[in-house]
Amino acid sequence: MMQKINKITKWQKQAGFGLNVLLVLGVIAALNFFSYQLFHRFDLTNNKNYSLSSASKDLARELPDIINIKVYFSGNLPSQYISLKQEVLDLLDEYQNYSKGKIKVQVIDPLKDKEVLSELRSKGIPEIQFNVLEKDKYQVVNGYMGMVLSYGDKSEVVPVLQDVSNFEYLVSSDIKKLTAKEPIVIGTLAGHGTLEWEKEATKADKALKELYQVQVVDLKTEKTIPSTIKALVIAGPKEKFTKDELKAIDKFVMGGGSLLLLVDGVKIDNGLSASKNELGMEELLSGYGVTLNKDLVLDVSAGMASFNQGFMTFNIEYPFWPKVTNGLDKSNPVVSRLQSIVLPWASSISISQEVATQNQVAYLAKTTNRAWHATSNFNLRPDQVPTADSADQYTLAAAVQGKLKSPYDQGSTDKARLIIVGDSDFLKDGLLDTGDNLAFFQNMVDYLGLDEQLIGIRAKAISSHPLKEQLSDSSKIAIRYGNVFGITLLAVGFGLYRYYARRRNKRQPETE
Amino acid sequence: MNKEYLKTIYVLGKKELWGYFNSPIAYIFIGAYLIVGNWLYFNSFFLIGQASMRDYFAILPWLFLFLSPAITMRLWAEEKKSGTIEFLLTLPITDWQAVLAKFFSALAFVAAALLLSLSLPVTVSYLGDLEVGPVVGGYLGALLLAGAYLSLGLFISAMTKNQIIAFVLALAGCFGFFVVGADFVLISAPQFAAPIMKFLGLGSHFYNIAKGVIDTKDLLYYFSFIFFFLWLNARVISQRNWQ
Repeated sequence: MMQKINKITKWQKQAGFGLNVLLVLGVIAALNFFSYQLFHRFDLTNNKNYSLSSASKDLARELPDIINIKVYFSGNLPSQYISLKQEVLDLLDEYQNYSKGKIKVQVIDPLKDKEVLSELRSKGIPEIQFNVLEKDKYQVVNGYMGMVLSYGDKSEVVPVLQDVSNFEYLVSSDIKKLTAKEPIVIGTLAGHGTLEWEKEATKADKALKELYQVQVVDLKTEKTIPSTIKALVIAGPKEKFTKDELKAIDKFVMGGGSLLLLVDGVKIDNGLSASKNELGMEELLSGYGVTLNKDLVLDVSAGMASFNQGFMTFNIEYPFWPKVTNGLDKSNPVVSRLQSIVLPWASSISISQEVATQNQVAYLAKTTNRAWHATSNFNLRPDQVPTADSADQYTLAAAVQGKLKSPYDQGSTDKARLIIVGDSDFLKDGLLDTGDNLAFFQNMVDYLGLDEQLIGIRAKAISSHPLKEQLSDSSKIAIRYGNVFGITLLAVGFGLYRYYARRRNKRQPETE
Repeated sequence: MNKEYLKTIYVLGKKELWGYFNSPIAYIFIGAYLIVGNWLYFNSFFLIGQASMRDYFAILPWLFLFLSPAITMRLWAEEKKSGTIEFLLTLPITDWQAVLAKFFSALAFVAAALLLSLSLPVTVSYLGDLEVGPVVGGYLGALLLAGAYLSLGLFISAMTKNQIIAFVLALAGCFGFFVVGADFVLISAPQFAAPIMKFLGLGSHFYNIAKGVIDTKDLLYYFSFIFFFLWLNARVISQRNWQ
């Protein structure tokens, strides 16, 4: 009898314990569930990488009318996209919070509704295929991850949401585009051996077209540059300009257009032979107080380039590809948040004193003070060494803003905006991914074409923090082993000290 | 909860903590942690050439996976085997106080080990422009993750007399909770379970904090996890008490 009672009480206790566990788990689950509805995030990163920038907040606050954002995530997305979805929705939540109801976000599962599917097709949001591992087999699943922003009768479509790092820029620039009274037009100069965007610089081209309406200007057929163009990009010309063409460019600048000059002082052909780039632009440029030197700058801080020798390919720091890190102007929004850019085969730029005193001049990119330059007999081999007496600092990119007078007596302007970079190669596919080159290009175009506002957002995608200087192998070893064993020895030393101290303390009473 | 209550925990915990430092285990543990962690980190540091601790915090959870069960395995199991648990539990303290004292002393010990790894951020910030935010986040996340591992390990140690069993089970348990939310596991997870698994994963919450975003969701998750296993631990201790 007693045994039975014992058994029952034991059973009761166990059941009670199980019930308690369930209860505690339930409370915890409920708390966590509510924490997903009501949460706060503290962003500790310097650039506030994971929260909205002030530009986006302002944009959301000052919306003139309602923007509808429809986010399409199909319910069958592979699990690895769950965090992408979460981050996208988190950021959109932030937009909503600041917009005082002007931004409306709707999350839609397109697979649940046939009508939505046909709507997606008409909007140009593609069906994407994913591989999903199911029942130990890879299966192909079709799904959607797209977004449509609409404002009045205008809409912007993001066909595939892939990368959350540029998501805020995407949303803000789309909002900007939607709410802009008229589209912003950026001109690119064709002919003169300039960069063929669609062949050589597809990524830069794509980035440009994402935000702007791009208009190609050919001075062979057009005598003037339309004033609807906000900024003209002249990238990598290799042939001489006629005086009429230069006058047309000058007229554009005097009329308030901005100019982005990406010009090589020395041209490099495919066989790696170099010759001075005779463009005949000297008069125009010197009228603006700028000189593009016909040299090649070499720097001890250089980007990596790969070379083939026989069957071997090796990567080395190539001094002809100056890598600018500390030489970026921290006070200028174009480059202030970039970490490094690499300008292959760049030429140096000089700014005349007169223009520098009258205007706002920013030396956007400077080499280290241990750079040197080649002015003739260009030898492009990678094994170049600096000569001790020739070390100097060179400017590779500069911005001029303010008052400029036409060198061809076509008047003057107070609101000139001009950026000149002694290099165009950095735009090419394969080089644009080096360092922050893409952001550098986009920031320059934004700076000239838009307000400075949007630049603040873009710098977010940048998380490169290169080491300050090149270390010798011996200091690398010292740093490494100092950290691996030095600290450990310190800790173990403390342990031994304690051990002997305790032993002494133990012995002392005995000796007394 | 009055002052006396906390003081008891403090006194007990302090005794436990000094217990670590009086035995060679502490130094073997710290030595192994520093050598392995720093070694792995510097393996690729100069190659990547970035002033960032991201890679370090990527390794850390795996390192803790082995080290925290090593700390917790003996905490209850040894007391049970040597019989000192009878003595401990007949002291005028509650089960909660005993559990909390053991937990916080173990956590303080891990914190001491983490403190010694601060030579890394100091070195890196000297070599380049190290962002402070993610490093602070990383260390906070590491502490929370260690807390979660320790609470689980402590609970498992209370269930057995055998230290080896406690170690292996704690390792398996921590590993399970760590990877359940990882992308490579979620790929093969059934669709409906994936969000729950993602929520349960200690790792996914850790990497969120370690990238420099302190989210109340992640904090609450860790606190819930730690609380749950400490609570279970206290329950298990009290049940043994009756027998």
